Amino acid sequence: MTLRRIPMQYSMQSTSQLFSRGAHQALRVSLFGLALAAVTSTASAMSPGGDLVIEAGRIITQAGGEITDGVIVIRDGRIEAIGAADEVERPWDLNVVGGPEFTAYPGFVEAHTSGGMDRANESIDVAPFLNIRDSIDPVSFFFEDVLRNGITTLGVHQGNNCVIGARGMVVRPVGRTVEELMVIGEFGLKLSAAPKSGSSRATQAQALRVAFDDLKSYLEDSVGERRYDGDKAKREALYQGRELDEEESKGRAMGGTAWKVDGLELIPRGELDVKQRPLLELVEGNYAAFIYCGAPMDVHLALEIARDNGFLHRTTLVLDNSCWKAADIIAEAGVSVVLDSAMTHIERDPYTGKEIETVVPRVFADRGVRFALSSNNASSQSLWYQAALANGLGIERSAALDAVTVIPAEILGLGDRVGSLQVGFDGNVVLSSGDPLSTTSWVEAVVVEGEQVYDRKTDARNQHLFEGQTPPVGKQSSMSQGSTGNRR
Amino acid sequence: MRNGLGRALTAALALTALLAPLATAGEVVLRAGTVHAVDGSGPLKDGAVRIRDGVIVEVGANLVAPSGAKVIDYGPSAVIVPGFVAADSVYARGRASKRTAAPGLSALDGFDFYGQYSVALSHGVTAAYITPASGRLIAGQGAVVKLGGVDPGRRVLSSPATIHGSVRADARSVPGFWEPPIPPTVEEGLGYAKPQLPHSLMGAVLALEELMAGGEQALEAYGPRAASDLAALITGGTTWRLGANSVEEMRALLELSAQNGMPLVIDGGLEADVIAEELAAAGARVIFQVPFTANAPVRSWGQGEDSYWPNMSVPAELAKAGVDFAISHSGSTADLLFTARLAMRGGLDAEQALRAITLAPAEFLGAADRVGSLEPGKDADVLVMNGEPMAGGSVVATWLDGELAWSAQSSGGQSAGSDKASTKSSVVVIEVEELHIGNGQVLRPGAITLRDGQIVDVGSRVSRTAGAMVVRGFAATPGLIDAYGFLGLEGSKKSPAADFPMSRIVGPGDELDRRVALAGVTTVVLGPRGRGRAGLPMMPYKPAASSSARQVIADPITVRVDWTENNRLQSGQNVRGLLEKATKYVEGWAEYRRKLAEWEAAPKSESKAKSKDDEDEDEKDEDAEEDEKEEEKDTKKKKKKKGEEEPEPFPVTGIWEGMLVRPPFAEETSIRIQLINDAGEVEGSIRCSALSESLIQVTGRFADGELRISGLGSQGWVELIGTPKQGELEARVLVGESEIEFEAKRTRKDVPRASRPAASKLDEEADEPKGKPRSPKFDGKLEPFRRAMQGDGTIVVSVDREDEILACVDAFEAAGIRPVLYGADDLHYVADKVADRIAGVMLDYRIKIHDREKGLTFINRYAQIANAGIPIAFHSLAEEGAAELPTHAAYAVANGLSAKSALRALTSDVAAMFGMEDRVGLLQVGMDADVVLFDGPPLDPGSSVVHTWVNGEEISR
Amino acid sequence: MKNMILSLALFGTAAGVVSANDDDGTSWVVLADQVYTADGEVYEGGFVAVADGKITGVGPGGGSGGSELDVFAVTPGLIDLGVRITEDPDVLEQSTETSITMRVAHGLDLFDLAWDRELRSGVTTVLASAPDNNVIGGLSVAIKTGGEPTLEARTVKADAVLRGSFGTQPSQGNQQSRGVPQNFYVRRPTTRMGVEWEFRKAFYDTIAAGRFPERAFEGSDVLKRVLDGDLPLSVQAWTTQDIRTAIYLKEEFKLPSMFVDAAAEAWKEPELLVRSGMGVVLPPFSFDGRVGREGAFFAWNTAKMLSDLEVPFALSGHGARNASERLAYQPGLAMRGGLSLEAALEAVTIAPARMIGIDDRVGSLEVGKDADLVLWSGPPFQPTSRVIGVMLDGHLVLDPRETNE
Repeated sequence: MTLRRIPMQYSMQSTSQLFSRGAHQALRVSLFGLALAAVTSTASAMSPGGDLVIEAGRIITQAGGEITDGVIVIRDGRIEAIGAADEVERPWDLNVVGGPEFTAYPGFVEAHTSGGMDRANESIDVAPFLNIRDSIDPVSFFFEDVLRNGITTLGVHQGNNCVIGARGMVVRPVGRTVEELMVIGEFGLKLSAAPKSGSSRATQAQALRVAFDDLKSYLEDSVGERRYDGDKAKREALYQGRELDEEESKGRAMGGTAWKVDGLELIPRGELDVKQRPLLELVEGNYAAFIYCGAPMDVHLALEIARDNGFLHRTTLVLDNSCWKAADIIAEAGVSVVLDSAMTHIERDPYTGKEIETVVPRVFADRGVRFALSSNNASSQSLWYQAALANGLGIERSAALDAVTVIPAEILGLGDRVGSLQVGFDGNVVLSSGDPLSTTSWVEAVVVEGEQVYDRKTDARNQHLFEGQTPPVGKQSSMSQGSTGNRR
Repeated sequence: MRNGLGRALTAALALTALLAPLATAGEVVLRAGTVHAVDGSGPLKDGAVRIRDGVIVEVGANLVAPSGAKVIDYGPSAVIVPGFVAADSVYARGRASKRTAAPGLSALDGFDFYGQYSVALSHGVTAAYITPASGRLIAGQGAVVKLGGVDPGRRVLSSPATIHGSVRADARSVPGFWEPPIPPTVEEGLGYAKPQLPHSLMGAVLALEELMAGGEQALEAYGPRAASDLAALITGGTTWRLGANSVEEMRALLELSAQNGMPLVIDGGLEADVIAEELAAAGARVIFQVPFTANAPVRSWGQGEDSYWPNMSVPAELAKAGVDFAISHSGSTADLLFTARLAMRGGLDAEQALRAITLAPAEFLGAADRVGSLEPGKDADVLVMNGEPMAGGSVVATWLDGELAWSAQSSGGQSAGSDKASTKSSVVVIEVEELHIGNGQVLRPGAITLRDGQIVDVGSRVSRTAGAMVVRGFAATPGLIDAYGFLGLEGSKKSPAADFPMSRIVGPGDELDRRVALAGVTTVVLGPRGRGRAGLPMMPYKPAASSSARQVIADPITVRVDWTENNRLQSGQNVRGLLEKATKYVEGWAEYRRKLAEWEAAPKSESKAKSKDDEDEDEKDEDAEEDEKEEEKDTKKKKKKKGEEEPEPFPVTGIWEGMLVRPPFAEETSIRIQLINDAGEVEGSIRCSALSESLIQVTGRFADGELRISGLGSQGWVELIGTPKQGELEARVLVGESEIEFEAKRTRKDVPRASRPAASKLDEEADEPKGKPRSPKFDGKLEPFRRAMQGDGTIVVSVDREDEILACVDAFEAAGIRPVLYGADDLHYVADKVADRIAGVMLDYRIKIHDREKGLTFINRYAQIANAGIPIAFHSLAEEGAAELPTHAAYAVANGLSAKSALRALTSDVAAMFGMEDRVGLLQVGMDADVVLFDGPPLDPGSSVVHTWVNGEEISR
Repeated sequence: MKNMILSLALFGTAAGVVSANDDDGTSWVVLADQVYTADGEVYEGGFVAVADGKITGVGPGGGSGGSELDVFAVTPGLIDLGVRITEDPDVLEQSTETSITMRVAHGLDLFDLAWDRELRSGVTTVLASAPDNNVIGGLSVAIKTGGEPTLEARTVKADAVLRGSFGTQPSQGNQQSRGVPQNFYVRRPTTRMGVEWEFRKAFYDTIAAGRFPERAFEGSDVLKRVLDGDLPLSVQAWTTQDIRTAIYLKEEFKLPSMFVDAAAEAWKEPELLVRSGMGVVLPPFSFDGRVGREGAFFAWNTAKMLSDLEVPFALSGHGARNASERLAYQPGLAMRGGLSLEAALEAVTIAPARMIGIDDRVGSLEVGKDADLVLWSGPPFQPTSRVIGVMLDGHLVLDPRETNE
C-alpha cells in the first residue's frame, strides 16, 4: 500500500550522500553520548534525503507567522529555502508537489506514545536495560494511522506500568525496518511515580529510591574492588561475552550534577554491568527522563527523584489529567509536561456531591508551563483534533499548535530539526486541504525529509474510511488486522 | 443567614474569602458559651480563643479582644473544642509489602495532599494518623498529617511518627517471598518462595528480636534493607505502634519493650481491661480500637464461650487503673466522635473521652507540640459545635490554621438545572419553651427543624443533625398571615381584571418586605384596591421571600366581590349574576367531561390522548403553576378569536423609539416602546429609565386613531396616550404627578411576539381529530368560582348589614359555596344563623364597638364571633402597615379574645379559609418553613419578634 | 480544598444576587452573531427572546424584554436519541426477553450526575431507552436532562418510542440448556436469529390477538400501537446484517414509523434504506472507523450519503465516554465526511425531534417552543468552539458570563 512505497532513488542512494549524512549523525551521536553509534549511523544512512519543492496557498511555519502563496525548497531532506513564491527562487530540476489550494504546516510531533509496540509493558519492575527498539513493529498500522493524521515524529516509550522502564526512541512513521524508522536510537528512560499495578505508593516510592541507591553502591563497590586490584567487573564483562572496542575500554570520570562516585574513571565503561549502565547514563544527564504521574501526589515523588539524581533538567512529566492540581510545583521545577488526551478533569466534591470540571491545559498555560498534547486513545487519535479541542477549551490558537509541534519537538531534543518550518530544519511538511484545526480539512499529502511518503488519493484504507468503499480483498484483510492492532 | 450566629459565620466566610491569599493578616477571636481546652484545666464558661497567623495566642474566659481583631461570637449555646485527631485512618493505606518487615516504607509517600477531606473536616477530624499498610509484622513508618490547610509544608505533623506493625493474627499470615533474578543466572535458576516469619505469636516476637539484632541473619531472612532501615528508626527513638488485642499478645509486647526499652503504644487493646493494672504498672499506652464499625455489615463474634465478645467499657477500666489511652475507630474517620461516645459505656466521663480523641492520640503519635489541645503556641485547629461533643452536639464550623476550613453554612451547593436562587441546604434547629403549632396545640418545650425551605421535624426534642445551626428562644409560632393587604401594590389605585395575574407585579423581597416579616407577618393575601364587577383577584404570597421560587402560594387563590352596592336596592344583583354565570360555566365543563369520556371509550389516537392530558391539567388546578398555564391558554384563545374577527393591518404594531425629558431631571432619556396591536387590544412593553427601572408591561386599546396604554412601572402606574401618524407618534405619558410630552418614531413594523402566544399550540388545536367534543370556552374570571363550588377555595364577599349578610349567605349556599365575609359589621348579631355556612370572616380594625342595645358598654366583636365558632382573620388593608397586625391581635387578646383563637386567626384559620393550609399556617412536617421566634408569649403586648424565617431562610434588615 | 469550599459559598451568594436582578432569571434576550433556528433560518446578528420558559421571539436585529446575553452563536438545545444514560443494572430487566410494557422512565435516577454532564455539554433532551440486553427492552421516554428532578417536570413525551435491539447483545450471556437449567441465563435466545425470532413472534402474536381477543397478552396493546403507527419503533442495529433485518421486519409487518439506532454500517446498503423509508440514528464517529461492541465499520461520509438520499437521520452521542465524543462535536465530524452545516445542525435538533414526535415542543428556535438554547463561543460543532452557555426551559443552567472568561 502507498505508505510502504519507498521511492526508487532512495534504495539506490549515492554513497557520497551516505557519508555526509553519516558524519552528521555521528556528530549528533557523540553529543548524546550514545553507546550505539554504529546502529544510529546506519539508520541515518538509510533514511531518505529527498529533494522537493512544495507550493502552498498558505504556509503555517510555526516559526513566526504565516506565508501566503509560499514555496518550500527541500534539498537533501533539509529545508533549503522557504518564503513567498516571488521571493524564493525554485530550482528547475526538482519535482513540485502541492498548489495554491493547499495549506502547508510542519508535521505534528507526538512526544510520548506507546503505540507501535507489540506490548507496552514489561513485567520486571526495574528494567532500564531493555530497549524499545526490540519491541517496535515497523509495519504496525499504528504508524500508518499517525501519518494519515499528519504526525511525522514520535517519541515511543514503554507504557506507564513500571518502576523504571525501557529506553525509548524517537522515530518517524516511515520505513520497513526499525533502523529506517529511527531518528534517535536511545533517547530517554521511562520511569513511573504512580504505583505499578499490584503495589502500593509507598512501595513504588521506595523502589524508585532504592534503584538509585543500588546503582550508587554498585559503582562504589566496583571502584573499591578495582582499587584493591579486584577484577570482578572484568570477569563479569567477559562472562557476559562482550568484546570491548576502544571507546568502551576507556574509563571516564563520573559526569552529571548530582551525587558522584570518585574513581569511576578507573573502570572501563564497557566493564560496567549492562543492567546498571542506563541508570548511570541518566544520572550523568545523557538520557532524557519521561516520568509518568498518575495523580498529583506522584508529581512530588517524580520531582524528588529527578532532583536528587540530577536529571531534572532533562525530565518531562507524563501526566494524568488529575495532575493539574500540582501545576504550581511543576511550574516551579520548570519541567515540561505531556498532557493526557482527556483534557478536562471532573471531580466530585465528597461533601456537596457537586461536580467540578477543570480545563487542564488552561491551568498549565496560566502557570507558564510548557505542555505538549498527546493523542493516546483511539477515539481522539490525532493531534490536530487534540489541538482543536484545546483551542476550543480556551487555549490560544498559536499555543495549541505549539503544543503539537514546537514543544514536543523540544521535549524530544529535536527543537532544532522538527516542529517548525525553517531553513535547515528537516523537510517534514503536511499538505492539508484546509485549516489544520478544522474538521472539514483533510491531510492530502505528507512529506518526510523531502520524500512524499503519503498521498491521500492513493490511500486505499482512507478511501475505505471516508467513502466506505470496500477495498480489494487483500486490503480488506490487512485492514481488519490493522484495526485490531489499533485497538490494543 | 444574617442574624447572630448567621452573621458571624458569613462574616467569617467573607473574611477568609478576602484574606485567603494572605492568610496571616489580622487576628481572629472565637467566642463561645463553653470552651474545652483539653489542657487539664477543665471547661471554661464564656471562653474565647485568640488566633494570630494560624496559631493560638491566648485561650481564656472573658478574654479581651485587641482592637482590630475580627471577633466571631458563636453564642452561648456553642461549644469550642480542639480539632479531633483520628488515631487511625485508611488515607495512605495500600497493599502490604511482600516482605514481612518493610520499615523503609513511608506513609507520607501514600498520602494524597490534594485529596478532598471535607467529610472528615465536617465531622471535626482535623488531623489523622496514616500508615503505608497493615497486616504485616512491620508495615512501615506511620505519620500524622492535617486534613486541610493552604500550606502543604504545615500539613505534616510528625513523620516518622511510628514504626507501625502488629503481632496480631492479621500479621501472621504472611506469604512466602521470592524475587526472580534478572537475568536468571545459573546459580539461582528457578527460585522458590522462602517462608517468612511469623506464623505464630512466638514467631512474631522472635522476628522482632532478630530484626533489632540485625546482622547477617537478618540480612538473609528479611532482605538487604529491613534491618538497617529499622536501626535508623530505632536510633531516632521512634515509637513502636504494635497491634495486640489478646492478653498474651499484650503481655508479650510489654516484655519485649521491658527488655529493649522500646517506646511502645499498644494498638487495639480489646482485652486491655483484663490486665489494666499490669499496663498501668508498665506505663504502657493503649490505642483502643472501638469494636464497632459504623456503616458496615453486622459482625458475628463467634459462639464458643472463649470467643471474644465486644466490650465497650475497656476505656472506663483503663481510666480507673490510670492507664494512658486513646480511642480510635478503624472505619471512616467521620464516625470517630460517635464511636468515642460508644466507648463511654461503663462510666467513662466526657472529659476523658474528649481527651482520648484529641490530646491523647496527639501525644502518643508525636503531634502534641502542634495539635490535640487549645494552648498558646499550638496550631489553631478549632471546632465550633452546637452542643457538648459528648452529649449529641455536632460541628457547625471547623477552623484549620486559623482559617475557616468548613462550615455548615458554606456546604451544600446548587444542583444545576434547578432554580439557582434556591435556598442553601443549611439546617436550622429552633428550640423554644413554647412551640405554638398554630392549631391551638402547644408543645412545652418544643423544637423544630428547618431544611431546604421546609419543616422536616417537630417535637419536644429533635436531633441536632450534623452542621445544624441551633437557635433558642422563648416561643415560636407559624409565620403570621395578613388576610388582605396591599404590600406590593406600591400605591397603585388600579382595579385590574379578575383574571389579572398579580404574580407579575411582585418580586423578591426588598427592605420594606423584610421589615414587615421581622414584625412577624410572613404571608400577605394581596388584593387590589377598589371594586370590580367581575370581582378582584386575591393572591397570597410571601413578600420577604428572597427568590421567586416559592414566593407565590396561589395566583389567584380567589376573588373578592362586593355584595353591598351604593344603591341598596341593587345590593347583591351583580354577585347573583356572577354566581349564575359561574353555575352555568361549571355545568358546561361537567357536560363536556361526560361527552369526552364517552368519546374516549371509542378507540383513540395519540393526539386525542394528549388533549385528554390537557383536560386532566384543567382538573387539578389547585397549584399556582397550573393556574398560570390556564391563564396563558385563556389569553391565547382570546387572541385566536380576535384574529378571526379582524385581520391586518395593525398601525401601531412595531417598535417606537424617541427621547423624553422628565422634570426635574434635565437630561434626555431614551424611551423604547414595543407594541403588538391585536384588533383593538394593544399589548407590549415600555423601556425608559426615567419612568421605571424595570421593563413596563403595558396593555391598552387603540381606537379611532388614539392609543391608550398603561402598565405598572417600578415608580407606580404609567399611562401613555398618543396619536400615531404614519410612523410618527405624538404622545404624553402620565406617571405619578408628572405628565411628559414626547415624540417617537416607528423603527420597526414587526415585533418579536411579546409574552405568551404560542403558534404551535394553536395549530395543535386546529388539527384535532373530528368527532372530538369541543371544550367550552375557558374563563379565568370564573375559575375561582368553579373551584369554590367544587369545595376547595372560597369567594370573598364584602357585605355589612345583617339582612344583607343573611341574603348573601343564602345566595352563596344555593351555589354551593361557603364564602368568606369581608367587613361584616353586623355579623355578631346573626353569628349563630350563619355560623357553619360560611368559611370565615375578615372583620375590620374595629375590635371593640358600642353595643347597639346596651348603650355605652363595649363588646369585642372578634371574641364574640370566635366564640360563636366562626373562624376569624385579621387583615391590614395597608402596605407596610401589615407590620402592625400582630399588635392589633395583641389588643384583641388584651380585650377578651382568647390568645389561642387570636393566634389561630393569624395562622391556621386564615390559611384554611383561603384553602392554603397545605403550605402555611401550621408548624407541621412538610409545611413551608415560615417561623417566627418571640422572646415572650406570642401576642403578648410585651413580647417582640427576635427572628423570622421565610422558606427556611432567616430574614434580616 | 478550603478555597474550593469558599468559592462554593461565594458562588451561592452570587447566584442569589444574579437571580434577584434578572427579574427572577425567567426572561432573557440572547443576542448572537449567528442564530441557527434549525427551521431553515440562519440570522447573521439576531436574537432569541425568552420569557417564562418559552421562546417569545426570534429574528434578526435585537430584542428587548429581559436581561441580555451576548454570544457568538446560538442553536437549539441538542437532542440525543441514542444516549446511554440508563446503562446500569437497576434498569435491566432480566426475567424476560421482551419486556414490552416496561417503562424505562421508572428506572431512571434523576439525581445521577450523568444528566448534568449531558446538560452542560448542550444536550437538553434525550430519549432514555432501556439497555439493549433484551430483545424488546420496553417503552422509552423523551425527557429533559435538567429541571426539577421529577418525572412530571422533566418528561417531554412518555412512551415516546418502543425500544428493541438486534445483533448479539440481547443474546449475550444466554446459554444453551443442558439438562435442568441452573440459572436464568439458560434460555432463548442464544443466537442472532433467535433474537430476530423473538421479534417476529411478538408481532405474530399481536396480529393473532387482534383477531382473537382471548389471545391478547401483556404488551399486545403496545405492539398494536406500533403496527398502527401510533408508536415509533426504535431498534439498535450496528451492522449491515442487523440493519437489513430491521428493514425486512419493517416491510414484513408494514410498520409505518420505525428507525434504527447506532446504524454504523448504514452506508453499505443505502438503497434498502431508501426503499423502506426507515429513519436512522448514527453512533459517534471514530477515527479508526471501528465503533460499537461488534466492531461495526462506520464510514466518515455516511451522514452525507444519507442526507443526499434524503433518508431521515440523526446523530447521537451514544454514551460518549470522553469530551471528544460528546454529541456537541458529532455534527462537526459529520461535516468532515462532507455533510453541510445546515444538515448537520438539523441532525442533532429538529430531525431527532421529528423522529419521535416532539417537534411541537423542542428541536428548533420558534416562538412558543421550549426555551432550550445552546450558546457557543464560536462556530457551532467545531472542536475549536465551546459550549459556553446552556438554557433549559428558560433557566440558565450554564452561564456564559461565568464560563466565558
